[in-house]
Amino acid sequence: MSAAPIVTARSLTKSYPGMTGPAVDALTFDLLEGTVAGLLGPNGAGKTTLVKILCGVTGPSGGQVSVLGGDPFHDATKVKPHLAVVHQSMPVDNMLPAIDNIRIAVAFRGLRWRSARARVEELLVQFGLEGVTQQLAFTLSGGQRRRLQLVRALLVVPRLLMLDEPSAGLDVQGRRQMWEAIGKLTSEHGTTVIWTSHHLEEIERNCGRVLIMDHGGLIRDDTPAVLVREYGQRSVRLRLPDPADRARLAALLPPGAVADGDREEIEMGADGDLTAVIELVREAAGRGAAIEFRVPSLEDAYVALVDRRREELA
Amino acid sequence: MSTGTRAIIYRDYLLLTRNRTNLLLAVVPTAIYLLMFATSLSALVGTVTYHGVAVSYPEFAIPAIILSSMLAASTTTGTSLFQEEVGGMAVELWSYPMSRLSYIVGKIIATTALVLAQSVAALLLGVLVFRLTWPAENWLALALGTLAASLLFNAFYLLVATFVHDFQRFMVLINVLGPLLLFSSPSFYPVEQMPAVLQVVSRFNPVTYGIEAIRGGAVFGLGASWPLVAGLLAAAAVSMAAIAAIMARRIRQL
Repeated sequence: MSAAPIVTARSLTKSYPGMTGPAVDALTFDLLEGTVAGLLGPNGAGKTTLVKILCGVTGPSGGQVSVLGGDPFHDATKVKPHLAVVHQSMPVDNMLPAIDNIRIAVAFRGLRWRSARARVEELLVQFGLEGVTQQLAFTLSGGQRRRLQLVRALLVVPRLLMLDEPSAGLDVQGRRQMWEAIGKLTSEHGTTVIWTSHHLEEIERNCGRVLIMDHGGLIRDDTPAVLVREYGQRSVRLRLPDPADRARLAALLPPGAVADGDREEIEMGADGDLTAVIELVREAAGRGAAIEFRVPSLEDAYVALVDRRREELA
Repeated sequence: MSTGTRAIIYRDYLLLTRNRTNLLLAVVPTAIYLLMFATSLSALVGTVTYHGVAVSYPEFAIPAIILSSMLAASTTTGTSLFQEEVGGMAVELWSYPMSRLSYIVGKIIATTALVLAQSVAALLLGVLVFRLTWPAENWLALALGTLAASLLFNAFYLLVATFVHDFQRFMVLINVLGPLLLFSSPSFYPVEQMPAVLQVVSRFNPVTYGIEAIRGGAVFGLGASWPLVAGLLAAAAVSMAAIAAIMARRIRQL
């Protein structure tokens, strides 16, 4: 049995007064329940606006949006109990202790502190915040405030979790703790996740689907594997300190294959036959030559796709 | 009461009580104004004729001081709307399962609770210093008048805040509006003592009806003040409905 769409957007548009173009421009997509979808795009692409529409913070200017079968803006009390969000802007009540920020979130969720306390303590330990709960929120580091947001968002098991740049400000341990917590949610409860990030390895590692936005529009919607296959170019990085070896390399390759033949470090595509190049490096190994094969990543594919799109627009 | 309303009240309660300066600022000025204003002027004025009845000046002025504090406290409701938007908390709050009406009601109840706390402090001081001797029914009428007026003026300032999109403009407006409303009403002087023009203005001033509900209740009891209390409550309900409608447009800009 196929999963049902948990999010449906049709020609979804959002404009703000004073802006030259729409922040979100005629987006159409579906998101099936249980999907972990990465939402990528350059700064100002419209990702945060889309998240705010989907979690019902603001309403669209045009088109339709349905989340869990309802309108998140107008049916707030029906839809939002099943949603959780980590906002990019790190909103906390700065003049309150961290624990009070959590107590407030517990109140908004309609939970009693007594019944939520065990879950809160579990999350505080999981995110390493147990020692700072009495500190005023403004005295916490950026990473701690981000963890505090994650604790608030994970008080309940949401059906749809929206993470807007959740790893911004987090250290490596914090990111791994977050990945672990999200992984647990998706595997144990089938939570659907929309995850924006500028750390593309995070998206590649955790998301089964990627939506790429630019200038408010959706420019691609596919799996990371397809995007990498389509846009990611395998490459090799050569190190040839001896100018004579670089000249031999240039003679082996078609004109223009190497952008800057005068540099010791040379990066080139790995799509053709590289037997001669490998042989050259082997012979020149005593003179410091080396070769490194690079597998394309989602980041490579994303950069290529966005650059191509911008060239087309220009 | 909805979950959203309870949560808004709880948050505002924590924001107020976790900082002792806020608590002091909420209660101390009212007490100081009461002591300074009522003692100095009561010696000067003595008694005032209020709707044909002679009352001591503290009896006359205490409701006005309560209303003055109420106006000052009510501005916090509107101010918090801007603070939440600028500080980013609005985005967090509106992510929770809460209707606009729940938010508005929560905000107004939270500030009304503050106003009632201020009023209790002022009245306790009034009882101790000025030996107020109103009958029990009049105390009840005064409390109801204070409650109704507080609901209305909180709603009024929130309504002003939903219309104005610029925080600086809002601050200028409320700083001008407060004294203007207070002194163009029969707050610290009987309406008969006001210039003819201000007497006309006072008829269109909501503070006039707020002060009459509180003072009329304190001096004459519930029998005299209930129509005004009912009117204030009705006006507060209409204002809240208007705010909910206007706020929908404002939230769309988040």
